[in-house]
Amino acid sequence: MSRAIRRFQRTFTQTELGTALHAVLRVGVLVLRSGAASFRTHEVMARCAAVLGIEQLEAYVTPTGIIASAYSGGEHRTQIMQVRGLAVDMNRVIALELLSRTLPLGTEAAQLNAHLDEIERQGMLYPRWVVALMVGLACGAFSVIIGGSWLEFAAALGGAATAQTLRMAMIQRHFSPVPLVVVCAALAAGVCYGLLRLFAPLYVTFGIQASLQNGVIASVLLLVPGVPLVTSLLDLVHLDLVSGLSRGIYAVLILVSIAVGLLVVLLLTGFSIV
Amino acid sequence: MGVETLLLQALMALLATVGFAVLFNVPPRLLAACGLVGMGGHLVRFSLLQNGTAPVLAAYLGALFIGVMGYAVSTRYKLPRLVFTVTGIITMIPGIPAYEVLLFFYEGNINGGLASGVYALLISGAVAAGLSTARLLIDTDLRHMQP
Repeated sequence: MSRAIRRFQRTFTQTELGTALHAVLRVGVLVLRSGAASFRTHEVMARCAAVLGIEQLEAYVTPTGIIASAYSGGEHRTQIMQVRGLAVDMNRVIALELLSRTLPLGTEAAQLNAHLDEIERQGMLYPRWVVALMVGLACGAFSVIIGGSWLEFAAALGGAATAQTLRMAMIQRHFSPVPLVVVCAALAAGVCYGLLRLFAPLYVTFGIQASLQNGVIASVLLLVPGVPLVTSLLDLVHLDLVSGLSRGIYAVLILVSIAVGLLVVLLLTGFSIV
Repeated sequence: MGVETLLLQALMALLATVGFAVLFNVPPRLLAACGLVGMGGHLVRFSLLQNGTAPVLAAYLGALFIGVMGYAVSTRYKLPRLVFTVTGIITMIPGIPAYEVLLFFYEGNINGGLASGVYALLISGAVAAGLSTARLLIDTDLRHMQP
């Protein structure tokens, strides 16, 4: 993939420049919310701006907002757009990346906005039950990776799939991440613990040495903020310090919330994980 | 290390990566590629760990492998690399030691908590270093500051 930016020359009035910049900011917010790192967001924005005919774009990308200035001829405009609600969506990242590469030179802001509306309308590609099942299987697989047997696999699957179902329902009702993660972690661990207790007679039947730990610990892995954690570190390596630090703090906050949710279950059931 | 262990780990890493890829809304036609990248990375790390390599080095080399593989696959599909690297790296993220920190502290085990936290930090650092090394090796544009 070449990084070459295709440029287009155009004279803007101040209002037109404002409209164009607004469309470019929308692109940035969509890319950032879908889980891209700051430098990628910046790249996609710069490509779109050049195609629209903006001479120079300066963008300051942070995980909670984007500030951008557009210069063209003698005119310049600066706008800020807030970013709320991280929702990792690779399909959207791909669509926006391709859009920024294939927009014809001299595209109007209105056309770009129409494309963005279309991308925003595309929902999730998989039905909810498929997502819940796959996430369950993934957490079950993790319990085996860390040394569990197929009993822990089944218990972690049950816990994680239930928690993912709840999480999708809560996201739809616009719950804030922290309470959402606490509740989902408690549910995942609780269901997993219950299932492992139910399976207890099977330990003897099949001669399996199952431990509660491996199951319960793996059942909450669906909540680990993997994407923010990795992008935070990649941002830091790119010297996007503000972006990297704030993403890192977000990841730590979510990790603490997972632990709090787990603690609730540990207190109620009285068994220890560590 | 038996062949069965390796096969089981490979299968589980594949399942874990594909599961998270579905959560991240990766289009169906790319699921297999994501899964294979993740499986390869996990196998590199797992076999190194089994042979007594230090955890940090194993994570670094696993992430480096994923970065390079992600680049190869993304060139093949002409798509952004993060689709493959972010999903592939999922099995290496030290989620468990990270949230165990608070559980250790809760039980009054300060040493255990600190050790767990430092371990999580080191591993995530190694993973980021591995991915960044891959970028720097492959992407010549990124070796210099943008003007």
